[in-house]
Amino acid sequence: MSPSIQAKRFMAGLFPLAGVVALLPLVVTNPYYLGVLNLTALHVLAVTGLNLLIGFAGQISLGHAAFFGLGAYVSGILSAGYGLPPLLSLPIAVGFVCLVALVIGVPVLRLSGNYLVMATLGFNIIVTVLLVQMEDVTGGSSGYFGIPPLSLGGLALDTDLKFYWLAWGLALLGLVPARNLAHSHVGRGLRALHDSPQAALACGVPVASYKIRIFVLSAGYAAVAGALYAHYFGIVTPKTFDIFKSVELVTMCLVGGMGSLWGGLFGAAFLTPLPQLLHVFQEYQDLIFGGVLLLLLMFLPQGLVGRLEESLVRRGFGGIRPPLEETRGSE
Amino acid sequence: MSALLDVRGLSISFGGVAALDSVDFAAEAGKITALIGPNGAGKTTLINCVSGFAQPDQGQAGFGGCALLGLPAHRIMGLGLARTFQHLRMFNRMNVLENVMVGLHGRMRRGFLAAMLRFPVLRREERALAEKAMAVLAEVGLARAAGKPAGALPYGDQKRLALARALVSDPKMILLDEPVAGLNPAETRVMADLILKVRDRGVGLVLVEHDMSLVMRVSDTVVALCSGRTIASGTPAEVQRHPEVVAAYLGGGEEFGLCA
Repeated sequence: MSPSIQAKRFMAGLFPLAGVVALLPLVVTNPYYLGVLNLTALHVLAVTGLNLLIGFAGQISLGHAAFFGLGAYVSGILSAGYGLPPLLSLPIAVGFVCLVALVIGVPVLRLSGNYLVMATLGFNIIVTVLLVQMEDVTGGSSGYFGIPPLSLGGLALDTDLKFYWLAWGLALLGLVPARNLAHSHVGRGLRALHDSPQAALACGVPVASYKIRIFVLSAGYAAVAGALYAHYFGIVTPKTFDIFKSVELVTMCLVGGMGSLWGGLFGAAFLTPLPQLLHVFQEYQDLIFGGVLLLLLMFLPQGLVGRLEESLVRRGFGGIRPPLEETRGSE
Repeated sequence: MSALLDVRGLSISFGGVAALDSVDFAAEAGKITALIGPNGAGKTTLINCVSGFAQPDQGQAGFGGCALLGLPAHRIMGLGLARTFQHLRMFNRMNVLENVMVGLHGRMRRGFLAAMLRFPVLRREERALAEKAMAVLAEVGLARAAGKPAGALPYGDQKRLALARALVSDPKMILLDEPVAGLNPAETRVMADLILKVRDRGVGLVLVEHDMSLVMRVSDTVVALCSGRTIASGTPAEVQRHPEVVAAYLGGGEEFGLCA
């Protein structure tokens, strides 16, 4: 299968999904459930970026909630505090977060494995502490509120449904460049450095710069999701972006299947509503949530979608199909 | 005329132990230069220094007139100096074809943005990459395995895949770190024929190998290292008779890390 056919197969999956997304508001009209769906879309966006970093390049970050949070706070403060239109504060916030990711990525990505996890975790804790302590700017632990909704050319996205279209539109749109990257020579280079950084270097893959680029890119995805979050909910609190949020995002990658963009989407769609549904059980929520995770990781460590794709690979359907087979097939 | 790969006075020590002690080494284009010596002699360290995987304390290394030392490994590869690893280091998550395609990574001039936006030119480049990779796979006799996961191949096939991955970028020279270690006699013969075929195309080869009958059969020049020093160099026959080489291999000195 040539890369372009592979990409077409991905698009073939994207269109029905877009159809489902378009029809869902006909069924779901309850604003609470719409809110859950909106949050799901934001998670899909963040997890897509994180999946590129973890699943493809094999660099684990437990600090992505910090990028999510910084995107939310910067865009929120710039629009509510300094009167910038959200349409302007959002890209500025994303640019700022990418810069932060670059600055911390250069030293941190020299580390690998557990050390990288600890460093990114530490970064997240520092960001949370700063958000709490810099009360004058951030509003401290009670949060920052009064953030205006996004508006596109006079049309304020101030209802759950209007935001739904934007959030899901961007979530699906965000999959396209990620898919393009994953199926390109760059994606191959990233997977190569995941398997063996030395062999990747010996093949001419600029390992250090690729790691930093993918880190910045995934931070950018998180920042977009974060900024959208701020303008949707109108309030941001430090607790929303602490290390547990980072763990949650990584878990979404894991449950769906690392290295599978569909998996990330599925993980976000599965795990975002789960705590809401389990709300009924209150005290048992963490227990059930943790139990589901435990079972999944024990019996399906490749993730739900990852398992499916793996069996496809084993039957020879994965990866780029040799051109010879392709010509033989068309005869 | 100076050799394609020219190493002078290379020294490196790890924790006070000199792995290489002022080593001179040269390998010519279109020739097979074997690097032999007992375990711990510094053969792989020499390859690592030259290919950018270790930074020597002293010395110089030039490749076709370019200074190598201090360059990052992926740039050295770009100059036309490829290498393989003793421990295969396959990309196990990819199929055989993709593994070889990664070997062409240095050719791709476009980066993240072009890839994310899926520039049409990339599609053509990608197709050319796959064709080139298939041609090399055919050359090493792995065309039929192209669609299989790399990790599923038998060990001998993986060794040839490693050679294909290095060969695909049309390098001027390949550093082969123990290409036949762990292979049975039949597989070794296939690999030896391949190595000679590559040499006949004008590619220089540096062969680190313990299989002496292979070394003596295919090499144009043999360099013997012991405890980080060059003890002999010359034609296979000369080196084989060299008293220090005989002592290093047979004298029992190697167990104590001593050379005659």
